[in-house]
Amino acid sequence: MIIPIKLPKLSPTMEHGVLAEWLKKEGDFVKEGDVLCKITTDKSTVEYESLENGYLRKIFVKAGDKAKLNQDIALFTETLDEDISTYKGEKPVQEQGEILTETTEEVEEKVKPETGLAVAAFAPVPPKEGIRFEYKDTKEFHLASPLAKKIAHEKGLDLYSVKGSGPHGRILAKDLEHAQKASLVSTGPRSTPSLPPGSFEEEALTPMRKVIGERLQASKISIPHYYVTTEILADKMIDIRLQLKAMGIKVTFNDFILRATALALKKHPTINSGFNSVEDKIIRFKTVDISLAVAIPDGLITPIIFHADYKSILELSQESKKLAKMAKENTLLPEEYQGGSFTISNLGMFNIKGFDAVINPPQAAILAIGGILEKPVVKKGAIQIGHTMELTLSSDHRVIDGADAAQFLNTVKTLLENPANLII
Amino acid sequence: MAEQEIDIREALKQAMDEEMERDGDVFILGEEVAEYHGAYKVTKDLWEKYGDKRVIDTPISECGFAGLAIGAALTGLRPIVEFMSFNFSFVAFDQIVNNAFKMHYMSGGRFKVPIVFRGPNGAAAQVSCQHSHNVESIYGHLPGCKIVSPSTVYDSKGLLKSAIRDDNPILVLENEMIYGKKEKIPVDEFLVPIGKANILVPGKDITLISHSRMLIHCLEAAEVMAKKGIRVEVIDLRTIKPLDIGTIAQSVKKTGRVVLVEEGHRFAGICAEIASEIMEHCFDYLDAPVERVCQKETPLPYSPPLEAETIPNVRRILSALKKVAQGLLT
Repeated sequence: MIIPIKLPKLSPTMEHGVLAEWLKKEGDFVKEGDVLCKITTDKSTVEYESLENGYLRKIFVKAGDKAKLNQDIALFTETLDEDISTYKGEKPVQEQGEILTETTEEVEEKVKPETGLAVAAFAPVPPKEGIRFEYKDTKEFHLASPLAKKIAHEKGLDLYSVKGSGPHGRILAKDLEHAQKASLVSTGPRSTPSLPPGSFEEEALTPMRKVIGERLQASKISIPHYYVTTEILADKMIDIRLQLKAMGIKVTFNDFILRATALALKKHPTINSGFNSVEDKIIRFKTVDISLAVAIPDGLITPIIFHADYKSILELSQESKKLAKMAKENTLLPEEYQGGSFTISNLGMFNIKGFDAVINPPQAAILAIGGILEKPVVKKGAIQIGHTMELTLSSDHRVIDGADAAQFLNTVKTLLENPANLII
Repeated sequence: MAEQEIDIREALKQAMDEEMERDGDVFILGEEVAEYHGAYKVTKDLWEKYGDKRVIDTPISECGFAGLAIGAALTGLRPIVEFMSFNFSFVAFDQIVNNAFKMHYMSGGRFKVPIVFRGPNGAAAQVSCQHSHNVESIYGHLPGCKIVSPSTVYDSKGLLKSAIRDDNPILVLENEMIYGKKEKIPVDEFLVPIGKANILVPGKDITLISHSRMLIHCLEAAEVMAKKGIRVEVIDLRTIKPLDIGTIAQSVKKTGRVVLVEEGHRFAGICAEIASEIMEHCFDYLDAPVERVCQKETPLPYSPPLEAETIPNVRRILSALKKVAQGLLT
């Protein structure tokens, strides 16, 4: 019997897949449960386990090629000597997978509001030609030896900051001893722009950017967001982190926040909620599963720490590090990033004051973490130098009211300002 | 280790003598190589030792005896062909290029041609334009051969011995002007591998590359530069083909500056080839354009002052070194 193997649906938004790697070759016997191949979806690369026993007779989609959902990617036979030449192959048929796709599309259609809030058409205007600059280009072409160029590139030096001592003023490697670091700002010669104002180029969306765009656009325009902000004193957290570090225990601020959030969600289950816009129902998540927004090349992904409220700060620390690493290596499995009851987005490492995050639906809230800044604070009526951190909770007003959001934030604040509670 | 002080002429003879003793298939043929001991006395006493069968005087017919020797090599013998001068090899050009170089390829690997063509190459003193060719770039252009061109007594002996043992056609390019150059070398047997350049003088500022007689000028120029505080690394190619780009690249990556010297002409010469290889392998390491010092674009004049100006000399090499050293010299 000839058994066609079709490209499976490995993520809810998947419509295409790229055959990353075949782990079996033509002629191999494949047991049910053997990893047959690796498939890259719009989200990640997933191992595909065979659902059949049989001989892999023919590979239709080579490693590196793209296939449509339900397209034949390979042929199995029960015995090795069966004739497969009669198999004509089917066109990508609209079977079960397609129904699922339709469901997804329906969901998306419902998510898009029907009140006429259609996305406006924004397109760029053409560049402005013929504009002249009033100053002269003083950044003339400088001769430089290949070695000098290489060193300047490697060490980040500004070739224009030195005079060349070689023939015709060529800059030699030796001349770079006095070169200044290449910098955004310089007092040296300046050049005129080489492009007319308004020049641009347009990039096609990668599958990941497309998904991010669709989800977050739908979230921002259909969910009634509102924002509650607080500021915490981070001095004790800094202090306790240094105390732990003194004994070789490394814990990040993010780990404190994770632990504090997990405990606060347990105390305020209203925040640990979501909204099912297909059924118009509020979702009450029964477990605390925290999604962590992780930046990866050309996008972001939200791996989940399940049962976060049951885990110690050290466990949370290890797990979040592991998940971030897997996210960056693109090895997360769908079940490791799909779902979650609440999201934390931390941009503190970029030294910003604070920001408002977009809700990750169907969840009802997301916590945005700002950087720890040194500034004057008022303690017991006196101005002192202290460290502060801003927290902003974005909530879906269909699920969470302002008072709930404020109380939740206050619990997080209390825990973070008394961080001994987070390490016991 | 016991040493002997001998000249290049004697070193070449010892190489052939040792190899003929070692292997009965090795024999010498050429014009006046037997009774007269060769035009430059390189085959001295060999006819007396090995007799008519292994040291053969030929008629004045390079095409004839080169072809005969190639035929002998195809049957499994290991001939050494002495050209009285490599200028005369042009008479045998078709035999050398079409039969010796290509037979292994054209026979699908069934035949090998273990043959050595040796003799003086380049200009001597006032032998004028027809007798002063440098043939390395002419033959080196064609696939199927190896070319060595030693500058020292040690390398002359070691490379000729390796060439005789090699299964490919090999040109051993000697130089009339340095046959009498003396050095101490070991008495015991040694070989010099084909395809390996030699750093004669280590240095960090400029790489100076040459082969054969021109190295005498190069060493003198390097000494002058050393007095100015510029350390010139002098590389003796020893083997021209296959080129030891590894040794060259290592040096250029250290110095970033290169001067190439060859006795032959500039256009499509060995220096042109090396400069191109350096550009391919070391572009990002160059701190100055590569300089070449070659024979000027004219048939070699008979007049001694013109001859001296046409062939690279110390003055021209120094001027090239100073040009690439610009910025280093204060």
